Amino acid sequence: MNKKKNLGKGNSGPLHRGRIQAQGATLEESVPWSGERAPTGSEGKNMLASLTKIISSREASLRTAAFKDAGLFIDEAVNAGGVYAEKKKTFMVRNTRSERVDVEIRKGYAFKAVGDL
Amino acid sequence: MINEFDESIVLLYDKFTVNQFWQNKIHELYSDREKGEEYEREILELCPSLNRVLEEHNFELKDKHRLFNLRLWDSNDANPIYYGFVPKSYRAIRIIQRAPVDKTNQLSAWVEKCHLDFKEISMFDASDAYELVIYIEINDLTFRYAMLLIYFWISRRGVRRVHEEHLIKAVYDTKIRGEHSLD
Repeated sequence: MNKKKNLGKGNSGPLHRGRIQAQGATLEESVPWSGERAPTGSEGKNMLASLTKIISSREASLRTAAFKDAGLFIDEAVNAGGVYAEKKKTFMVRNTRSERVDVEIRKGYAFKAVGDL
Repeated sequence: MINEFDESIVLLYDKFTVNQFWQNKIHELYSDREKGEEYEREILELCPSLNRVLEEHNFELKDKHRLFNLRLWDSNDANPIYYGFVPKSYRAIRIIQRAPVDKTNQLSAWVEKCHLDFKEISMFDASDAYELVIYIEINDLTFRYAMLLIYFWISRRGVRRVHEEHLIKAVYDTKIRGEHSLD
């Protein structure tokens, strides 16, 4: 099963790719990004807000603290000059088996203060 | 829950030390067959239906096999505190640790696709691999069952996502879930 790496893989496609998602035992919703321009911090915050509207009010309410923590992560990324791939952050809902909010930066970078010129 | 762990591990004083703690504990599973067999007995008590998986697939790890401690772990916020990859069984392990907020048992777990290229492992294409993700606030009980879940996940290629999730549910429902639980 130790597959040899295809060195060409990952060198094509969009420059920046990632997603913010709400997951759990019966939930899997996400707001992805993929393109030549990286999302800014404020765009990341807007994605979080969009996600809270996609899921039910019950699921959003359960994840209130997790969404807040994800927002703080984006704020810290802005202050640090952005966050670079590859990075996965999980913000758990304590006292549950798997309810959470994830932020994944799979390629490129995300959450700088201003957009690419 | 009485804690026998060093406070620096539980409270994450030195995150590098905690990262090494997880690496060492997981690598010990490769060679500590006494502990492994103890886990297997408990796995069968929790999920008798997993007997077939354990019987049909031999324990595959040996001390000489590799365990990558990926640099994807985060020394700032311990999210994750450890990100490992086991080439032999083609499995990853991501552990998010937090200092205990209260005295409740906090152990969450699930399996998901890695979705990362793991650029730092130049020899392997791990992008199609799955990972066991664990959220833990360490005490004796949560640590024991985190290690049991990790043991089962990395011990055999015959262990599938559905098997691991079956075990996770059994552990959570019988050992972790309390009156405080929200699900």
